[in-house]
Amino acid sequence: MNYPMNIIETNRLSRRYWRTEALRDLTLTVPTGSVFALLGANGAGKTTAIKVLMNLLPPSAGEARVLGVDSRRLGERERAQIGYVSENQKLPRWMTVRQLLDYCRPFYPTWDPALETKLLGQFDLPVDRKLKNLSRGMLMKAALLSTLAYRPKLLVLDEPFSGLDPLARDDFVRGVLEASELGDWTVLVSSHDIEEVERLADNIALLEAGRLKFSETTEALLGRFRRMEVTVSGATQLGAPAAGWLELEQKGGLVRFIATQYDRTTTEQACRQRFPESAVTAHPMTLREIFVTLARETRNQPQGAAA
Amino acid sequence: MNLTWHIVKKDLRALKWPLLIWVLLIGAKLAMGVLLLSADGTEDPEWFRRLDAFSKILAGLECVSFVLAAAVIQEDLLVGTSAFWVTRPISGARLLRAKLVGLLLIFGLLPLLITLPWWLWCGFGWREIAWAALETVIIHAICVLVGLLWAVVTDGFARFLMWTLVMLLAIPSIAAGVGMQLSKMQPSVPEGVMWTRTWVVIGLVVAGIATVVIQQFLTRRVWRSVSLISIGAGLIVMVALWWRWDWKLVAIWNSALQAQAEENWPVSAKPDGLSFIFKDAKLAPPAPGARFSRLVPLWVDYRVEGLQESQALVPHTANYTFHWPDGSADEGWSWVRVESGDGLAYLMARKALLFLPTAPIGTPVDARATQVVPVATVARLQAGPAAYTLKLRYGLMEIDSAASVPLQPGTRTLIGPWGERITHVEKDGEQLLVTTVRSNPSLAVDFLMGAGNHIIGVGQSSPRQFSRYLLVTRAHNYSDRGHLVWEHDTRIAGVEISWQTMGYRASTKGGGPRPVLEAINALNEAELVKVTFQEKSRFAYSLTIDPFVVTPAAQ
Repeated sequence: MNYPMNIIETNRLSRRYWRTEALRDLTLTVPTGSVFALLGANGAGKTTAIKVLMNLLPPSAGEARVLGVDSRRLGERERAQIGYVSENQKLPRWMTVRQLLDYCRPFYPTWDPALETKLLGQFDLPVDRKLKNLSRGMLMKAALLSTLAYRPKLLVLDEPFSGLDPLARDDFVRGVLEASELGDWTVLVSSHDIEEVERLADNIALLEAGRLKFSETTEALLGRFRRMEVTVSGATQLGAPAAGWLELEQKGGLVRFIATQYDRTTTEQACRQRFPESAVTAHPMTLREIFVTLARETRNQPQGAAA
Repeated sequence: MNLTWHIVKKDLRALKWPLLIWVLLIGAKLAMGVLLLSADGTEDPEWFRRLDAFSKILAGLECVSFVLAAAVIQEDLLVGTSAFWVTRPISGARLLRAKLVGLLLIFGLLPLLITLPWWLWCGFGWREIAWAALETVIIHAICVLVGLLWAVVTDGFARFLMWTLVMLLAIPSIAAGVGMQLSKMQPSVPEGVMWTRTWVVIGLVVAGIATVVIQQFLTRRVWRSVSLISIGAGLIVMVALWWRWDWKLVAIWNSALQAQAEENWPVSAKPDGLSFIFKDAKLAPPAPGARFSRLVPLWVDYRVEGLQESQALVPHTANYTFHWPDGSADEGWSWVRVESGDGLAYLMARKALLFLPTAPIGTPVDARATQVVPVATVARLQAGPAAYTLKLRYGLMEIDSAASVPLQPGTRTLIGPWGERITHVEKDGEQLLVTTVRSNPSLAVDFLMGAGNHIIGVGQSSPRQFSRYLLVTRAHNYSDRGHLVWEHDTRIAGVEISWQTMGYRASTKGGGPRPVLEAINALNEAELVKVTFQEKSRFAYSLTIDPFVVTPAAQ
C-alpha cells in the first residue's frame, strides 16, 4: 500500500472543552518515516491533539488526515496499521502478558511472532504475570510490545515516559528505536521529557497553549539556537535585543543572549556591529535548554501575545 | 465472526468468577426445587416455607443479572478516551455484535442449559419447555435492558450503579406522579386507551434503550446518548398522560384468545343429552357515585343436567357477551366454579368402591360464572334488559384407573408434566394424614396470555390428566375425600410445587358420632385408593339468556 508523503496532516484543527480551547488552529504535517516529537508543557494540548488524531475525540473545527483518511473515519483497516501507547490507556489488567498478546494477535494480519518473541526477551517481561501486578515500567513495556509486534506503519506514543524510572525509559526508547529500524515506520511521540525525545526525534513540533509554536527537523532546530557570549571591553550599552535574540543580559564584560535564528556569519556580524571590539563565542544548546528558553520567553510575554 | 467470537471469549474469561456465582445462584434455586420434590415428607410446614423463601430470594438475586450485563458492556468502556479497544482494530459495530452474542450466551443460552435438566426431570414436553424458555429469556432480557442503558453511558461501575439506582428510584416516583395526574383527569381515560398507552410506553422504553445502545456503540457520543435518554423520558411521560388513540389492543388480544379457545374447545363435541339451565343472576350494586370505569362483580348461576354415569365436567374457561338493543355488544371473560354436586368426587367414589354410591346417577351440577363488569355496563343493564350469552368451555373427565396404594411414601409418578408423590403417611389419632408433593407447569404466559383462564398456556392443547386420593372402607361402603390439613405451594423456574397434607377418616358402621377408639381401629380396615382421571374430550356450550334480568345481591 502506498502511503502519502505525510502520514499525518492537520488543517486548522481545533478542540474545545466547553469554554476552554485546548487546541487552536493546529496545522501540522508529520512526514512518513519520521520520528516526530510533539513537545509542550503540561496543558499545552499535546494529548488533546493526539486524541483527536486517533479519533478518541471529535474535533471542534478543522480536519485531520491520518494514513490518508479523515481521522473521524478511521476504521478497522487503518487501526490495524496504527500503534497507540499512552500513559492513560486502561489495559485489561486482569490479563497476563501472554493473554494480552494472545488477545491482540488475531486482530492484526501483520503480527510478527518472531518480533514478538524477540521483544519479549528484550523487555524481559514475565509472561505469566497479570498486568495488574506489573510495575508501571513493565506495564508500559507490555503495552509497547503489544503494539510493536504487528509492525505498525504509525506508532503514536502519548507521554510514554511518565513515571518510568531511568532504566525502564532506556528499555522503552531502545525498543522503539530498534523496532523503528526494522521498517519504514513513523513515530509520533508526545512528551515533556526532552532528553528522551532528543534521542528519538528527527522532527519536533512545539505546542503552547493549544497553538503550534514551530515545527521543524531536530537538526534545523538545534542548528538555529545558540547561546551567545560576547566579551566586550570597556563600558557598553546593551540596548534592546535584536530580532531573534532572547534573554539578553550583561555581567561585567560579558554579554549573553540566545540567538534563535543563528547563522554564523550574520549573527557574529550583528554582534560586532552592536559590540565593536568584542570576542563572540557561540555555544550549541540542548533541546532541553531550547525548550526552557522558549517556555520562559512565553511566560514573560504579556497575555495574548504568546503567538 | 472469528474476531467477534474472540472478543466474546475474552469477556467470558474476564467475568468467569461473577459468572460462576451467577450460575451457582441459578443452580441453588433449582436445587431447592429438587429438595422440595424429593424430601421425605417428615418436615413440617415451616421447613417448606423456609425453603420457599430461600428459593424466592435466590430467584430475586438472579435479577442482579443487570449488574452482570453492565459488567459485560463495561469490560470495554464506551465512555471516555482511555478504553483499550478504541485504539485497536475493533469497530463499534463489531464490539456491539460481540456484546450481543455474549449477552445472548450468558442470559439466554446459559440459564436455559442449566434449567433444561430441571424441566426434563419435571416431565416438561417440548411445548412446556418452549414456553418456559421464552419466559426465562424475557425475564432476563428485562434485567439486561435495565443494565444496558446506564452501562453504555457511564465510565465506570460506580457511576453505573449510582445512575441505575437513581433510575430505579425515579421510575416509581414518576409513575406515581403520572398516576395522580391521571386520577384527576375528567373524563377518566377509557380502558382501551390505557392499554394502548401502556404498550406504547413499553415499546418506547425498549426502542429507546436499543437506540441509545446502538448510538453509543457506533459513535461513542455520550452527550448525544444522554440527550436521547432525556427526550425518551419526556416522550414517555407525554404518552402516559396525553395519548388519546385506542389501538383496540384489548379487542385484538381477546379475539386472538377466543380464536384459540374455539380451536381447543369445539362446539360440536358437546355430549348428547347434556343441558345447561340458567338459575339466576346477581349483581353487587356499585357504590353511589362510583366512576363508570370501576368494575363490579356479576354472578350467573346455572345448572348442568344429563351428565352420564361415567362422566364428570371440569370447567376451563368462559366468556360473556352482552347484546344491547341498539345492536352493540360488550364482551369479557368469566370464571366458572362448580358449586355443588362435585362430579369428580362422585366418580372417584364409584370407581374406587366398585359399587354405586348412595347419590343418584345424574345428579345435577350447580355452577357459578363470575365476571367483573364496568359500572357503565351495570347502568345500561338497569336502564333496559339486554341479551346475555355465556360461552362455557368444559373438559369431559372420565376415570382412567383406581388402585390401592400402600400406606407409606411412594415413588414419584409423572403424567405428562404433572408429577406426584406421597411423601409421608401417618396415623394421627382417628385420622390418617397423607402428605403429597405435586408439581405442574406454572408459567407467567399462562396468566398473561389467558388472563388466568389457561386458554393457550401450557398443556392446554393436550388432554389433561390428574389424580386424587380416597380413603375407602369397603366393609361400610364408605369413602372419604379427605380434608385439607395444610397446604403450601411455591414456584421454581416455571414449575409449581405444592405440598399438601390431607386428613382422612375411616367410617364405622352406622355413621354418626363414633367412639374415638372405634374410629382409630376403623383406620386399620380402610385402604387408600388413588384415582386417576383422564380428559376424554372438550366441548363448548353457549348459554343464552334473553332477556337478562339481574337482581341485587345481598350486601
